Amino acid sequence: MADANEFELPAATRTGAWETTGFGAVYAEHARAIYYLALRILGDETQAEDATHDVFVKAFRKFGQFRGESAVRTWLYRIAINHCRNLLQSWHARKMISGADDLLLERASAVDENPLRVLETKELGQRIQRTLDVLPEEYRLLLLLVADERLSYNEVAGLTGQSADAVRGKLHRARRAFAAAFVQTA
Amino acid sequence: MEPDSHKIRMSQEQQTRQEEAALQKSSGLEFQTADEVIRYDAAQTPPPQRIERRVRDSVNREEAERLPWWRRWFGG
Repeated sequence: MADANEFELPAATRTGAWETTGFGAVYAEHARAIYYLALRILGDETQAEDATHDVFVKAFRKFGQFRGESAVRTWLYRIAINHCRNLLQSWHARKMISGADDLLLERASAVDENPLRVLETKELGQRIQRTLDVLPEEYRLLLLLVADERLSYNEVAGLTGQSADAVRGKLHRARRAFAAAFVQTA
Repeated sequence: MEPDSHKIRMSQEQQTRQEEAALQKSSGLEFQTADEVIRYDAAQTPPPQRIERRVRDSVNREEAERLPWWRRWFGG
């Protein structure tokens, strides 16, 4: 009878690509940002987990071709944005998902620059999700990317396919729309 | 005696204000901008540990499958 150990992979193969390629370090550095983006775009923890897994596996497949023309974070964000957009498009195709609240966006112009208040940290995530859900996709993405201090306006512009000046202009409106919606989620 | 009682009252009022401020701080959060509140939320939202295990397994499996069969067997 054959010994089970006979069919085990050699030690050199068992030390996986995670360690030998340095991809584990890439994951450690960027997983939080990618997971958070996926979570707030998709609005579902399980879907965000799956999306984060898929984004990093896609990134690993292209890791050897990554030439460092952009920062790794920006490269990963691009993969994540495309992945989440594809998921959302397939969901939209299957069921009607309400879009941005036009009335809310009209009200946003009348919002004062009041602080955003929340009673407890545990309710914060839910309120942010409800707020982002009623914003147009463009505003949602801008706010999430700009909140990452490691991205410059130029990088955000590149990721959203517009000029840095356009980002600044839209960001102002996005912040006001967020503030208006956030108050309503209280 | 008058200045002393005044000092005590001032000190008590200051302490009360500090206590009220501390209570307000502990019972609520305040953010000036959307960026600030999102950044705070992101910092409080770590990815579940199981994602790392899943990605690690997938990456290691994909890399192993890329190797020719004889390298997988002999580690050459």
